[in-house]
Amino acid sequence: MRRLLYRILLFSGFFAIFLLVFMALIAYSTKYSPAVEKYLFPQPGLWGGTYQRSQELDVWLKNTENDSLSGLLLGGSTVYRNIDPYILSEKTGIDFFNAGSNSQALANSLVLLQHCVNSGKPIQYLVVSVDHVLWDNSGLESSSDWITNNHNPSAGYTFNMAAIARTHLLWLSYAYLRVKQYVPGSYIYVDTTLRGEVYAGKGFVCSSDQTPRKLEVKVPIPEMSPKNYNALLEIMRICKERNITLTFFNPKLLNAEYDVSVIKQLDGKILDAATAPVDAALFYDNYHLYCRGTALYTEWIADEFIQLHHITPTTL
Amino acid sequence: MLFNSFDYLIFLPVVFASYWLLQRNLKLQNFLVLCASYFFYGSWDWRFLFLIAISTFIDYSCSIQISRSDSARAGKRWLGLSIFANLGLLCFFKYYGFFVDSWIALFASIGYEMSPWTLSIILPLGISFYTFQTMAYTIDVYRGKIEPCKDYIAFSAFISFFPQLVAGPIERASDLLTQVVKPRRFNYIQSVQGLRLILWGLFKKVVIADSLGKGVAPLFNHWADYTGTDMLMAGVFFAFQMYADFSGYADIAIGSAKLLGIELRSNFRFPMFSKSVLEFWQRWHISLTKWFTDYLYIPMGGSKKGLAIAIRNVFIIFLVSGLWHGANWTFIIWGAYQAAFYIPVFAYRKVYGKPMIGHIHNALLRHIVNIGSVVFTVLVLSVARLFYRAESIGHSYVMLKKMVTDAFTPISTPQYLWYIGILIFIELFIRRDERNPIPIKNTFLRYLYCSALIVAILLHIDSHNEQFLYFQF
Repeated sequence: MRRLLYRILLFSGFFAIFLLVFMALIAYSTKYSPAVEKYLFPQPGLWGGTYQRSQELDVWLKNTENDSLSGLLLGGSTVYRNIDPYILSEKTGIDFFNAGSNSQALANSLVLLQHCVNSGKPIQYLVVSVDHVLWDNSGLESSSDWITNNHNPSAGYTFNMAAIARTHLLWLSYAYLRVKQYVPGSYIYVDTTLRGEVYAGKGFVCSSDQTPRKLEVKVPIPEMSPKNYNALLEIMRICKERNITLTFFNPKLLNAEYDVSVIKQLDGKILDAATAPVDAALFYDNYHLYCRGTALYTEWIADEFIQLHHITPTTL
Repeated sequence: MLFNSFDYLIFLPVVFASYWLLQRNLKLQNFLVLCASYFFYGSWDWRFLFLIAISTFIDYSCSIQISRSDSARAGKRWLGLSIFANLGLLCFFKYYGFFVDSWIALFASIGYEMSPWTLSIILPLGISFYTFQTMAYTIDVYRGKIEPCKDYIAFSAFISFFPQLVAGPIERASDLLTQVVKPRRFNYIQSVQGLRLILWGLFKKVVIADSLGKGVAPLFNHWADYTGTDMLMAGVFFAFQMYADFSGYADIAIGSAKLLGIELRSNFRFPMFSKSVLEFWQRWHISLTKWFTDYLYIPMGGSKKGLAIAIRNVFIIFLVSGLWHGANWTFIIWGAYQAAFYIPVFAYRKVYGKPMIGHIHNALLRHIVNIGSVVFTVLVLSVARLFYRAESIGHSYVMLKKMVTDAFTPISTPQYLWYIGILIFIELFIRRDERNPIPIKNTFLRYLYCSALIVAILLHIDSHNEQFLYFQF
């Protein structure tokens, strides 16, 4: 039995080295062609804006000399595609950054919040989406997004993102991207396909060229998973500890029945956008607005935000 | 619990470690195997554990009564009870719906509308496998080939032995039970062989079978969007998917059993290199073929009552085999279709005493004919797989029709041929021995090869594990 265990250990060591060399070779192959990498690992792309968002987030977090108050928006695509941080900042006088991302579950939002507060930038306001649609989401899509479509895959929070989803493929992608950074001559190919959208800055993506779809379908509302509920509690704890004004944001969806009772039980203010006066024609699906709808929607949110927190608007 | 799941990755080492810690106490070791097996099966659906427990109890009791019977007639009665109970459970859970539906369709065709008493029955995992294993045991006791087992725990462990419980190999008591009742000692070589078989089995399942499965599904589900060549490819891809999936399962089963110091019989001997359908069935699902031979073909007279009777028996075996695989007319057609290719070769061998190729003396020509025969057999089997995979006879018919009327068109999904190529290359040039999938002597090269297999598995395995195809039987 000892002999078997010894051989298994020996092989495990060999395998670890093999994996490193294998990843380094794949990374090196990008110097000549992206084909092998593309076949084995996901390649970064601009769709969804996370590649640019991660770049700008770093810049935004480093800018600590700004006198204005800072606010962070977290949530899924109903945040980063529907809320224009420029309008919100202009109306509230708070420098908002939209760090929403595809299918961002509360567990993902927590990782981003931890990253932001640990960066040293003082953040006074946090708007975190409690999008019912993502209540039971595993966080895989968002984690994958922040790992693969990150301009700096070795950023500390990408590790925590990989830990959320608990799939070996994400860990492999993460490890590969880390190894790739040390391989001289390796090249980063970025898929520039945008599918009818524009990255407008500050994490905001605006869609104007989308075909309307599934508007008549009823949006399913799942139960909140324990993982996301615990993340929600942790977000509240951090906000309390750091004196961050927390706002729970309930996004407007078409054909959805909301139940914000869970959130109402928590100690936090709710900005309920379900009643926002946005016409159905401004949605291209049940979740997302056309560019022309986002301005109206964000202005309404800004007004509600000002009322909710009794803010005196100042010009940025 | 699936072999290709994270759960099994935890389960097997825990069982392995506990099992060898108990090696001084055979009874406890067998009890552990029994508990592990019931846990393994129960993790899928605990309710059906009762079926295994009932089947075990009936066959244990009947076999003891058979041995105690003072007359052949009494023994026969106990045997009849055992067969009736086992087949009764199998028929109820597997064939009830099929027979009721067929009955209704038959009456509807002559103008009678029937309001049927239908039930929504879930097919218990692996029922066809363990039912055949228990029946073989009782028949063998009746025939006096083996003594009945008096150790209930050991017997239960034999029936429910988790590595082969849900998809075989269908073991005989003379092979497996005799190992279960004897003390086992840890054997390093056997364990290493086991680990290698598990690795190779996982590679076949996860990398080859599941990848081919992704190519097969759209070809069958959206056949109207594809060409005739694609229909042929659907059959070819599915034939190789089935092989990689089922033999991958068998390798993991044999490997897991080896880790517990138990040898299971081989279920495959490179069937995709068969030169005829007859040879294919000597190399494919060997334990089932042997079961049908011993418990159906020979009792019906086998080949001893003349060629015509032998052909009739072969044909019946194929129809029953089709029905064993699934409760659908497509499986029966699948069986009949294969019989049509099996019987001529079978008859030729019976009449002339040797295969057709035995008449070719030129070495080069023999070689060419051999390769041609392998390709032809694969194509025949691939067409057979259309019946096997299609939802109905109508579905398989339109696919076959398209194959003929829209032939000689480019393949839409040639990328899947790579997986077949890799499998053939490894089986032809590296594996060679079905019990020793990694016969590389140089340690560095062997480690390199194993590492490559693991990386390929890691890159292909899905977070939602694909079930093994033969679990449905």
